[in-house]
Amino acid sequence: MPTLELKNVSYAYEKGKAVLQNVSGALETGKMYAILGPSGSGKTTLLSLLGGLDVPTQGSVLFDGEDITTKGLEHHRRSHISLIFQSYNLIDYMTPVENVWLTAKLDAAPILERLGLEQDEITRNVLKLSGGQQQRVAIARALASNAPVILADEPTGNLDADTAEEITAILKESAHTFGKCVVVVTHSGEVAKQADVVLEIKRGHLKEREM
Amino acid sequence: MSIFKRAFLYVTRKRGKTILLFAILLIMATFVLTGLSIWKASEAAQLDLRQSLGGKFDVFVDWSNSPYVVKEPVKDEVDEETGKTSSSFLMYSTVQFTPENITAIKGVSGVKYCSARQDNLLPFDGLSLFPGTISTDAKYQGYTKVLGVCNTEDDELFTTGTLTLAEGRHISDNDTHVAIISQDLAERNELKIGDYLTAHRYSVEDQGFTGPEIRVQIIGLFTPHAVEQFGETVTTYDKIQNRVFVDLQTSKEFDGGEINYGFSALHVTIDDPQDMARVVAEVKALPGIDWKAFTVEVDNETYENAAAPLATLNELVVTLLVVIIVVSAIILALILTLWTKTRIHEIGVFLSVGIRKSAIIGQYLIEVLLIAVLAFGLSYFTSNTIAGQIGNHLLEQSMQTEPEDDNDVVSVAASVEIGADNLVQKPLPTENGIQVSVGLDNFAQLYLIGLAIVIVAVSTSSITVMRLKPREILSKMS
Ligand SMILES: Nc1ncnc2c1ncn2[C@@H]1O[C@H](COP(=O)(O)OP(=O)(O)OP(=O)(O)O)[C@@H](O)[C@H]1O
Ligand SMILES: [Mg+2]
Repeated sequence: MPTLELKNVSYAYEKGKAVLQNVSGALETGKMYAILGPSGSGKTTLLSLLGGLDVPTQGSVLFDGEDITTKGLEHHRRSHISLIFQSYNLIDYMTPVENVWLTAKLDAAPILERLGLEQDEITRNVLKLSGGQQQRVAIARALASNAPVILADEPTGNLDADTAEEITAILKESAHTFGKCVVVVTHSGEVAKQADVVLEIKRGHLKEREM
Repeated sequence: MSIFKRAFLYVTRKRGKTILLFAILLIMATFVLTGLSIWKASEAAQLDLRQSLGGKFDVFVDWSNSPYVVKEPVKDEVDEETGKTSSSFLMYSTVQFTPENITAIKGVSGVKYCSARQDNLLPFDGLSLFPGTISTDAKYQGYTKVLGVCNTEDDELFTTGTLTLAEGRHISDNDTHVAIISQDLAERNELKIGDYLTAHRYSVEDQGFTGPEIRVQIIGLFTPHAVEQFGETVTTYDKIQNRVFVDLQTSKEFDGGEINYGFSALHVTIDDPQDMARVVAEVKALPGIDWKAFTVEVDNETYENAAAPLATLNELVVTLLVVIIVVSAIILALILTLWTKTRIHEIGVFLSVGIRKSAIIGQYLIEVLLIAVLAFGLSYFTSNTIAGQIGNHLLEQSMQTEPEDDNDVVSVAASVEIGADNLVQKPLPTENGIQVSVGLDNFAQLYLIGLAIVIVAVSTSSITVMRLKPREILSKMS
C-alpha cells in the first residue's frame, strides 16, 4: 500500500504559470526515491506539497489513502513527515543528543553512534561538527521520530563527494533497514544512482526514469 | 523536549546574549525602580505636607448681597466730648447658621472640624482680669471676650493646640450655662471647677449689660500654649488668659435680643487641602442652608504655594517614568526583533518538527523572563543605592528653585491670626527632606511593569515568527 500519493496535482505560484501540471504518483515505505530536475523545475515545490507545507492548486495529496487536509496539514507535518534541509538542520544551542530529543525522548547515543558519530561528538556543540556530521544528526533525528516519511531537499548539496556518498548510503539504509519512505531531491546523478526509484520533473510533469 | 528546557538551554548556552540582555534589563529595571521609589516618596511627602497644612475655608453671611440682611438704626448717641450726634446702625442677617447646620457640615467627608463662635465683650461680676498692655475705652474696662460655641473641642484655639484643656471637660452641644476659663484666671480669682460666674443680659435701653443676672458654672480650665510676648500690645479683653468660653444658649442670653439666634460665620478645617473644591461643593449642596444668605471664602494659598515645588517634582518623576518605560520597551523590542531575525533557521527546524508557533514565541518569552527575574532582583540593590542620591538631589533642586516662596509659606503658616490669638503652627514636613527607599510595593510594581514591557517587546519581535508561512520553510533553509 502506498504511503504518500499524489492525485492529479497541479500547482501555480502565480495564475497561468503552472509549476506542476496534473502530477500523479505513489511513494511507498521501505524505498528511497530521488527527484531530479533542472533548477526551477519545481522539485522543492513538490516536496512542500508532499510535506503538507502548502496545498495544491488542484488535485490532492493522500497519506495512507486519506487526504492530508482531512486531519489537517499540521497533523500531517507533525506525525508523518521528517524534513531534512540542505543546511541549518540543527539547533545550535543544543548538543546532537538534544537535537534528537526534539522529536523523540529516547537514548539518542546508540542511533547517533550507529550513524557514525564518535562518543565525544554526540555531546559537542553542533557548530563544531562538520557538515557531514551535522547531516548525520539530522537523519538520526528523523529516524528517531515516529514519522514514516523523510523528505530531504538536496541534503548533500553542501558536502564533498565522499561525504555525500556516505550520507546517501545512510539515507538508503533509512529506507531499507529502518523502513522509512525516503524522498531525496537532488541535482546529483551519484545520489540518484543509489535510489530505488528515480523521478524527474520536466516542464511540470513527473516521470519515472527507467534505469 | 519541553518549552522550559528549550528556553533554559538557550539562556545558559548563549551566554553572550544572556549577559547582554541581563545588563539591558538591569539598567532598565534600575531606572524604573528608582523612578517608582522617588515617585512614591514624593507622593508621600505631598500627602504629608497636605495633611499637616490642612485646608480651611470660611462660610459667612454675605453682608453686601444677602436679601436677609437687615439694617436698623439704633438710638442716636451724643458724644460727650465733641457734642456730635452719631447715628449707629444694627446690621444683622435674619438667616444664620444653626447648630444643626454645623452638624451637617461636620458630616461631609473630608471635613475635620467645623467651628463657629458668637462673641461678646462683657463684664463678669467681681471677676479680676489680667491687665492688657494697652489701655482701652473706659467703657470696656472690666470687659473680656466671651466666645459662645457649640462645643469647645472643635474650636480652632483647641484644635490647633493653642489652648489645651488642663482640667475638667469640654463644652459640648447639649450644655447650657457652662463656661471654660483659663487656669490662670481661675487662680487669680480663687475659682475652681464647679464654681459659678455671674454676668448680666444686655439691655438695649441702657446700652449695657445691666439686664437680669445669668449664672454660668465653670466646667473646665484651659492653659494657653503661650501668652503674648513681652512688648506685644494686647488689650485686656483680648488677653488670652481672660478668655471665657460659654455654650451657645448662654451666649444668646447674654446678647439679649432675639436677633442672634445662631452664627453668622463658620470656620471649616479639612483634612486634605487637595480636596478643597469637592468639600466646598458638597457643603454647598447640603440641604437646610440657604445660600442666598451666605458666601464661601477659600484660602488655599498656603497649600498651593507649599505644594507647588513638590507637585512639579512629582510631575517630573511621572513623566520621566513614562519615558523610561516607553524607551525601555522600544529598545528591548528592537533588540529582540534583531535577534529573532537571526533565529529564522531555528524557527524553520522547530516548525518542521511540529513545534507550534505559539510554543516558539512562548519559549522566547520564557527566555527573556528567566533573565528578567534575575535582573529585576538585582536591581533592588542598584536602585536602592541610586534612589537615595537622585531623590535627595531632585528634591534639593525643586526646593532651591523657589526658596523665597518656601520661606513665605513658613511665615504665612506661622502667622495665621484670629484676633490677637496666635495659633500654634506645626513645622512643615518637607523641611526634613524626602526619604527615598525602594519598598516591596515598588518591587511588585517593577515586576508588573517589567512583565508588561517584556510581553510587548517579545510580541513585537515575534512578528518575524508569525509571518513565516510553512511553505517558506524549505526555501529559507537552503
Ligand atoms: N514563493 C514563490 N513565489 C513565486 N514563484 C515561486 C516561489 N517559489 C518558487 N517559485 C517559482 O516556482 C518555480 C519552481 O520553484 P522550485 O523552488 O520548486 O524549483 P526547484 O526545482 O526546487 O529549483 P532548485 O533546483 O533551484 O532548487 C520556479 O520557477 C520558481 O521561480
Ligand atoms: Mg529547490
